[in-house]
Amino acid sequence: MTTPLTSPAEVTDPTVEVRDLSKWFGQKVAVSGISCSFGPGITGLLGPNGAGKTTLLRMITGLLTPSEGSVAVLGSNPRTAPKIYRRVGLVPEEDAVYTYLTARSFCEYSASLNGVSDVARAATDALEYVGMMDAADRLIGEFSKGMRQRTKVAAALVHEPDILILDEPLNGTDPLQRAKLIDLFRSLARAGHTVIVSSHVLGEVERMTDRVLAMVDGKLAAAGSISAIRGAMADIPYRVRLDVDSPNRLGAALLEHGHVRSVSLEGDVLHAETTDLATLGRALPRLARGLDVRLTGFQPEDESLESVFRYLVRRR
Amino acid sequence: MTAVAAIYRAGLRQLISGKRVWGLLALATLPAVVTYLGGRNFTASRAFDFFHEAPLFMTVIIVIPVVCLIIGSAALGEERRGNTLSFLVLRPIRRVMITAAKLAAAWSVSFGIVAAGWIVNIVALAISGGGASPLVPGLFLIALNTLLYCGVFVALGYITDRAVFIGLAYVFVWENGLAGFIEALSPLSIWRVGMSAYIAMVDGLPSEILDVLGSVQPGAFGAFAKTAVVAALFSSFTAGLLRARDVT
Repeated sequence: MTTPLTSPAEVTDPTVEVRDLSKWFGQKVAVSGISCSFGPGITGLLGPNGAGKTTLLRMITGLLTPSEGSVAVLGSNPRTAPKIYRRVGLVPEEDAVYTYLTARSFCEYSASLNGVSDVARAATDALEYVGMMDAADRLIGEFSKGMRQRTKVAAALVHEPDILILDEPLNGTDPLQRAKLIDLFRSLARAGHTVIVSSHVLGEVERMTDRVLAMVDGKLAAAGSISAIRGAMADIPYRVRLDVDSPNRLGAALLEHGHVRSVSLEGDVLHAETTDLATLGRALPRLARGLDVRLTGFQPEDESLESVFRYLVRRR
Repeated sequence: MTAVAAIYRAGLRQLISGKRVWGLLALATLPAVVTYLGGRNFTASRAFDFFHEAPLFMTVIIVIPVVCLIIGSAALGEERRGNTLSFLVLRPIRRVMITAAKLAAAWSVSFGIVAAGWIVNIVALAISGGGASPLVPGLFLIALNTLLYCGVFVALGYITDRAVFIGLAYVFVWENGLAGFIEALSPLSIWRVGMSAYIAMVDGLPSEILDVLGSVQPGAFGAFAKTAVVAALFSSFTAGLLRARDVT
């Protein structure tokens, strides 16, 4: 199923390949025509909540049947070749844990299901790896969200998979735990594992990897390095709210400003659309002083990740 | 094999945990109370007959289906509702091994609960002078019927959240209603399978008890074979569902 490298969404040595993949639930399209591939190293799957990341990961693992398109994991269809699961680990987004088991017995259970020979040793190693040995013999039901996340990661690592799929693995973790988990994922990637991490937080992904696939509304919005995506974002128009005592005068002056595309008035509030938020922010006080108007507020209105990604999708 | 044993052990732990086991044990010992209270003033032979009029049927018609419904539907249903199904299915093992291990766990727990109640029931019968001859045939009946019901209810619990409601409707409308009134349907009734074995194994039963079988013929081997086939079929059916359906 290997295809020539045609886009930043593809890698040269894929372990996971996705071709024209779509999934719909009734009338709702969750994933629409995605083609991409993943190889050794970390790939960040970035996008706002509801973008289709979890659906895509579930199709990659074989939990969901694609409505259209195909998935190959290590060359096989995961829905028909369960043997590949010996080399795949999944950390699902939801709390897929048995609250009546201890962290150790949960990891031992996971190891047994994967046919690991020394189950006890594998569980201890995995728990040590995620820093959970202190709580290894406590019931998972007593754990905080962050501890559960780390236990899930340990259970996914217990059979030393080649491919690790992590759906929002940093949810609920504190900054210290987050830093440790990120280090862990990076060390796995350095060791040649394929690590796919989904997140809706750009900063998190940025700390893990430079390779990102950005999704929104079930589509690939952007792919490639973070710097390339940031570059693609450079010309996004930002809408800014300006509270000013003389909106007409400032609005007219802003239209002559090179980085302002348009202005509009809503009552006494002035809105401006700019492609360079930082430059406008620096220029505004000087401009206001020069016009002798009183500027009391400057507020970007639409800079969420979701809106940025939506823009990228529209532009594709 | 290790994986199957691990699923079986975890399944036992899952199904035994919680208060439901105590409630079901209480239900399972209810026929023993009836045996004791009803039979204490009877002669030995009357106590034996009385046992086969009420307490036996309480066990067969109510206790076994209800216990199996609660336990069997929880086996995969709780995995689905608790989002742990992905933990089970993303493994290098065949789905039929998962469903077989789950069925075995549900059967073990159900059998254990009903058998415990049955043993208390036989003690009550013995105290009433009715003897203990139904002990082993009864355990055989329980083994067969719990396996059959668990096979059906493990699948049902995986398919729907309304398994208990649908299961109760099945037991009381189909098993105890239609399959009883229409003789041609009686071979499709689960409890009559184990009952056919029991009737074949116990001597001196009141002759009217044969009427409940409808067109089913008494026989232990036939009941055993039918149970094995149906349990295997349902295990495969549930495995097929696990393969075909999305794990959401």
